[in-house]
Amino acid sequence: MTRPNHPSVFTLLTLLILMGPLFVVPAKGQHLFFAGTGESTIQGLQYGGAIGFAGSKQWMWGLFYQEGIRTSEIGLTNQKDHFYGIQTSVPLVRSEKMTLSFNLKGGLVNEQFVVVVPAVETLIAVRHHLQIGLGPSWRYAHAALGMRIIVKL
Amino acid sequence: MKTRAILHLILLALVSWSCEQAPSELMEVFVIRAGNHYADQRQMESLQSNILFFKARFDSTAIYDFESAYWQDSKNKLLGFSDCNSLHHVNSARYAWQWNNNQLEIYAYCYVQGVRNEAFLGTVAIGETATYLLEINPHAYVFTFKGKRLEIERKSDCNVGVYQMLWPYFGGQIPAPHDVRIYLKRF
Repeated sequence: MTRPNHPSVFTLLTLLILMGPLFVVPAKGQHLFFAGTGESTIQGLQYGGAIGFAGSKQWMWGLFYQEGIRTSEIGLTNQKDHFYGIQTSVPLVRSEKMTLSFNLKGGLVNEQFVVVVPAVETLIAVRHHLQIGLGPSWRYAHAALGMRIIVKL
Repeated sequence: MKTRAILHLILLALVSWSCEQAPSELMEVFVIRAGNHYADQRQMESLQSNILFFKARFDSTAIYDFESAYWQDSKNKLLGFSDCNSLHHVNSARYAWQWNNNQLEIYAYCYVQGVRNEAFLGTVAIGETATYLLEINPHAYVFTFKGKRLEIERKSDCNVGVYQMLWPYFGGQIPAPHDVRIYLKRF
């Protein structure tokens, strides 16, 4: 069972999703964003980034990529995991400076394993173009802690 | 003021991360109550690597006597996963255990295209912490236990999908005769 050399459906879908936000023309109150992300999981720290689109009511959707090296005390699982896919944020409570939102990330780990990660995030607007998000998620059947620094474009 | 608030936020994040327990310090206790098959801790998780590596320990609650050799020789499931987008009775790989012949026996336990395939791997003592490695490659489920490596052929042609984790389960058909505790530490 070898991997095909031609692009798979998943690769094409991924490319399509990746390119999607570039063709979105934001209306008033909407914007594109990119974000630096970090997630502390039971399997170690993972870092990455995201790009996407935010609606006028703080709905967000976008694409993310993160990776990290899993470690174990005997070194058996010292392998790099990379995780990419799509994510969406649904605001639950909003105020001028803060938003509590429900996030859902779904994608592929190591191009093989389909993974869905639910999260709750508090977004704080620290500058007009800068937000910081912090909140727990559920990863590897354990609580994880995620952080995002979001820059509006 | 805002700068200080940001610094406090970053500090809070760093403190939170640094306070998280390292994986090596964690050992979860799965309790299967008398009369039940599943442990209290039902968890939903999909496998996120082609390697499942964990440590497990049994205490004296793993000893039981069914008086029937047939039921005594019935595999209880320890940990594993169902294969890519498969139900566990179609394609799956797990470690299994049973108290039989006055010892705690460990088995490789797989379903391959609906056909059960099990193989004896070894024994563990009560209170002993042993390591278990289960790898999945395109052609086989590879079990490594106490230096013994065993391959069971894999026939699933699915590669990309959901690999559902399968957690401790008592039985077979007979539920736990008393509370059974299993200590697990995953990596």
